[in-house]
Amino acid sequence: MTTNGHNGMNETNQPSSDGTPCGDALDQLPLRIAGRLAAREARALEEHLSRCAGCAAEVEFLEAVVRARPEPPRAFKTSVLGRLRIDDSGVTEAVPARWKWLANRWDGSQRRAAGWGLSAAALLVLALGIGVVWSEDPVADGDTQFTSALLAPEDEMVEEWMVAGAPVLDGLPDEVLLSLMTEMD
Amino acid sequence: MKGKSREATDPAPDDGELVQRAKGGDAAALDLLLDRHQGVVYRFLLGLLGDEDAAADAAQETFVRALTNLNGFRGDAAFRTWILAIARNEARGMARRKSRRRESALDDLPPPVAGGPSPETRALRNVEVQRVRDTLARLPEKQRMSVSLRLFDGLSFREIAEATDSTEGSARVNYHHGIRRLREWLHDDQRT
Repeated sequence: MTTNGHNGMNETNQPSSDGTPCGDALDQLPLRIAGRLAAREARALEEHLSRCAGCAAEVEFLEAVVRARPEPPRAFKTSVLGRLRIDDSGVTEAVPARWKWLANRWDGSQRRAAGWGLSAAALLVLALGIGVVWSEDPVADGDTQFTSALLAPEDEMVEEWMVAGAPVLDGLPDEVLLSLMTEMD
Repeated sequence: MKGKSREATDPAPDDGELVQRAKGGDAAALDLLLDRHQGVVYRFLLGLLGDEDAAADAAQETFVRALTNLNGFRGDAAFRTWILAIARNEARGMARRKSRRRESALDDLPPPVAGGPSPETRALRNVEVQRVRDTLARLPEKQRMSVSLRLFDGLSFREIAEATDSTEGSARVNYHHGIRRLREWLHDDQRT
């Protein structure tokens, strides 16, 4: 990498032979590299660079620095979009900050796969539930009887709000819930 | 035919238009806004926080906050200026939380090693690229921010002043001092 650039002698903004002061040229070089110069300014700058060795060397130095430009992580955009719910009413936060590590782990294809997985899990739970309801032996075993004897009907956890963690889990999207279930396994 | 050719030459929609579309739930508009601004927001936060993971975290929070509060964007300033202001608040909040945590629970622990990528990641990266980044990270904050925003993202000195809470003149001076110092340090480093 060349570290030769403008030696500073012309940075007093005195016009060079093409009429463009070096200070103005040095100001504009980053915009030239970023492609943000208007056509007229760009032409004047090129004219200056063709005559001023110091400014031309500065371009080389700045371009080397720009090659070290840090970029966000590859999955950054997916992580942000994974935390949002987008519909006709606009954009809302679907995954709060405390759950973002889950959203960060999943890309779009994983979320779709999780959707199918959740559907399958729901079917399984439904099938098991039907099996229990249709069971012909109401007094299954000693454990069940023992539990029933300990819990008066009003003590049973029939309300969702009585389940530990329910308020926290409320409102989380399916894929996050599924991931949590997987984590708990 | 006429419509088609017009469509083909239409310039990319500006940020104001994308924001309006995003407010109505247009996912493609959100996607474009993210594409356009994720880099500058991430680098801005990296300049402030000095740690890649912290910068990525703060950038994610910044976008979630901004995109779920698009009604708060009135269009008086550019979208980029608006989101950089949110990013700066996020960085301040993160720094405050970090210092509170350190004061309370982690008093006995040694301070974390200077942030940045793991040694493995560093080894994989181009040595020259890493050398420039390390040197840039040594610049004083105002100079580092001005160099990064100007050189990496092409912001005007006025935009830099708004983002860093300084004046246009200071932003210009900080940029030129930062570049000069960066060149000197890289030159010295190359010689040793």
